[in-house]
Amino acid sequence: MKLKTITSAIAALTMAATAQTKIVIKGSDTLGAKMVPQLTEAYKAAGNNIQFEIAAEGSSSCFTALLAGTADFGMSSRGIKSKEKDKFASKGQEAVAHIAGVDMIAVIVNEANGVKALTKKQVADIFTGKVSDWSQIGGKAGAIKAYTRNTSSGTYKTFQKLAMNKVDYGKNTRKMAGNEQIAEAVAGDVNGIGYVGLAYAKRDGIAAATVDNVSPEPANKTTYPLSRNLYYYTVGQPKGEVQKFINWSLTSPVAAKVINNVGFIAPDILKKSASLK
Amino acid sequence: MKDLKPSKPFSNATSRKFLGITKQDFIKYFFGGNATLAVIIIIAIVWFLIHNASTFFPQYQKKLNLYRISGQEILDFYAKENNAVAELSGLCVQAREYEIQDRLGALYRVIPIYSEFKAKSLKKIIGERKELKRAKTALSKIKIKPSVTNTEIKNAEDYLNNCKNSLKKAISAAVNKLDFSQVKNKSWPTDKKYLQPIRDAIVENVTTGKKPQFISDIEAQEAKKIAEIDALPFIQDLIKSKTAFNKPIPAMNTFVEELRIIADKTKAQGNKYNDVPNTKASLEKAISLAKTTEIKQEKQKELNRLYTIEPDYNTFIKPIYASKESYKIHHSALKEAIKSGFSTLPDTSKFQGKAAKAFIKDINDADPAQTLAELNAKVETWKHDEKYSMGQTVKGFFFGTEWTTNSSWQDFYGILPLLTGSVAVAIVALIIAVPFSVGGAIYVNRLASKAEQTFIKPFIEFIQAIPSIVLAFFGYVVLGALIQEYSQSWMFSWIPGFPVEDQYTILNAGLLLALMAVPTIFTLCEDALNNVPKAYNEASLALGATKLQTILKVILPSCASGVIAAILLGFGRIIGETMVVLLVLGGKISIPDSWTASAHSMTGILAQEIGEVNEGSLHWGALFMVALLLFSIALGINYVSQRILNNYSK
Repeated sequence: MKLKTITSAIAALTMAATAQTKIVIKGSDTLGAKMVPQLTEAYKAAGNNIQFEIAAEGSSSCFTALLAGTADFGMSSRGIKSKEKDKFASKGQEAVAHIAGVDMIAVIVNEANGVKALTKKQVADIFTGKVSDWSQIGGKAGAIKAYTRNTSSGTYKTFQKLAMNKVDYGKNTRKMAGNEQIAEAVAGDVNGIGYVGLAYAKRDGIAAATVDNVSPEPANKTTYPLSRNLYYYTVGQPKGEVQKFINWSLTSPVAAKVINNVGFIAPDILKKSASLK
Repeated sequence: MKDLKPSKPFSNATSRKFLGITKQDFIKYFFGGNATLAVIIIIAIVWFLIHNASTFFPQYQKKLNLYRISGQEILDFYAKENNAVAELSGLCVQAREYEIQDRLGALYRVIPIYSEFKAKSLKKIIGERKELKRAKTALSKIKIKPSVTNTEIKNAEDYLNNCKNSLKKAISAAVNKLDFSQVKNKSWPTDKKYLQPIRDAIVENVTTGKKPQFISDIEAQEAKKIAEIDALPFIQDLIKSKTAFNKPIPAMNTFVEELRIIADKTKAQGNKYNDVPNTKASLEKAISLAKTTEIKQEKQKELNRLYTIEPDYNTFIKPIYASKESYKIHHSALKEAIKSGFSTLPDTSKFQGKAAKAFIKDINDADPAQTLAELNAKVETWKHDEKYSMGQTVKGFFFGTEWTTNSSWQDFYGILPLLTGSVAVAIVALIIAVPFSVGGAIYVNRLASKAEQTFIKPFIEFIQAIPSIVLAFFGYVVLGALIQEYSQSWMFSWIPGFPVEDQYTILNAGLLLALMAVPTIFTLCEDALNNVPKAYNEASLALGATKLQTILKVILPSCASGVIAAILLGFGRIIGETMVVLLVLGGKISIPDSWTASAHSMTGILAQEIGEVNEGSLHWGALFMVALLLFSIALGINYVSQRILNNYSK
């Protein structure tokens, strides 16, 4: 009798210990620095006993981590590349995309900089290095210091496609590890310019420039030239707790509120999942 | 007399044997095995590096061939021609603006300083601003209430006025603390007479929300002065030059842009075709792993869709060959633009500003006609099906000046920017570290008292215990800003490369790395000094030499090899350091042109990019090539320092 109670107590204890499942999320800094952590907090606050572990090192790490099996799902600010798709296929797997929200890439300048309106061509010229001084685009004299994300970033690549017509970044651009670092560098430098996800453009000391006279605001999401989708990626269709979380973050009004508060735009029409072909 | 018997630590012929091995044998094998293991591990590491790097050159060659056969290469020549002339137009614009800046003096920076100060003082009154906002919303809420008494409204209004007053007080107090010494950019000219108006304008703007009259006046003054300057004949000429340079640029831009789309498509097809074997293998594997027949069929369909015939490059390239005709027109337009632009370019002597003069000099020094002719020759002889040779590929890696990865256009892996960055930092660090560490070692070893020795030595060796990330963090947060600020002082203006324009520079990283190299060099130097026979010192002193003479003429020459080896090992320590250069060097991938510029390093690029690459890809191979090179450099340095020690210390 005694033995039975002891074993059942042990069983109950192990049950309690395993009840808290852990979800590991890896990938994009744009998603992983603010939006996903806040979503997980809200998710936990909604009464889900789940432990989250988030590592945000750039979109490319989303796919390398999923391939290595070190993440339960990934975050990416760009679509999967065909080479990455091949890698999944060769393991008999498939990466499934879920649109997590819409982001605008804001071009930010220092608050004290007189230039607050740029054309798309000027943006391209600045980041490709064709223009090197603010005076060339109607500002006060001062050498432009352009800050970009590092090459593992999805934003780096998306920006090159959206704003720069695929021309390569200029040699004098400085590669920074994350959105926050870019915002920080631009805030500390009158001659700085950079680009960040919309969520980071509201910091003190910086101002988002208008591009082709459209300012990066959620209301302008159809007209702003530099907007893009954000994705969650799972290996195959999501299951269990991961599926629950992703569904919640795509459909729940609470999640939408969190996403909008952070500065992104919650997915409008809730596609359950769109396998990118 | 028992004590005289020699003690034998492990001598025990009659000891127990285990599997035929005595205790002594076991210890022998244990240490021998350790040494062998170390050798095997080193060989394994070298093999691993070479194995992973070996795929790089063939893959890179293939990519470069595709770059050529798709026509991307010739389009880059076109674009370079265009950029060479566009740059001149840009320089003209800069020369005009910097001349204006120089002639306007303090007036030029009044508005930027106003904006900077405003942002600064707004930060100091956040509380008051919030309170005011609250009072305003409270008042508007009260006003729309259906039943509201006059006293309620009056109270709310009073409170609002109170808030306004306290805001005004706070902002006045904040602006009165401002003065021109707080301007971030110390090179901006300032004038005392503008300080009070700027302060008042901020107060006016913050309290009323309107654009202050003073600012409008300044704008008007500026506009008037600029119009005057623009009316000067030589500025007119400059503007003419600028227009002339700029004339053919937009047309050629669109011309190249249109062709780029074609080349990009060809390249995408080529890439797909080149990947077919990989895609095929992975799809076949997917089919074999598929769980349902549906997936199997889907994958089979995908497999059947794969390209099996090589893209017809000869057809795809036709529009690009055809473009050569229009290119000729654009090319001669560019040449014409250069000629007419230079014909009106004013002389340097007419400009007042130093910066403006420098820009005009840059224009004159540039030889765009030469650049154009070179590129034109390349265009003329260019053939899409001429293959890159292995030699060109290898040369492209070791002497390439471009490191462009994850590009949507074309990746280039040229190591020169990274190598020069690493070496430049190491040299700066050594220049700073060597006098301190060698001098310190001499002092501690030869001149210091016992008490000083016991104090200084552990202190210097303690530096080694600081984790490099802590130093890097210090450089990132503190040192960079300090250098940037103080380098703007006139006292340092004679130093080349000053004032420092960036926070994250070779100088900053070099200072931190010097700190890390000091313990290494110091300790090894001290060892070398210790190894000098006592007799040398005593003989020299006995002959009547002073202490200093003895050190400089006798001690140092006799341990020079040790000192050189110490410096070399310090160099090795610096060049392999990662954390500091990753954080503090600025991440700018170009060959540094000054010791206060930003740069990137070999170790930094490895740390930054290795996490993002797919195993076995071209980029992966390139990173392993970098690692291999780094390894060879470290090995070479160690070998040379060992040789120096062995050869000259006899």
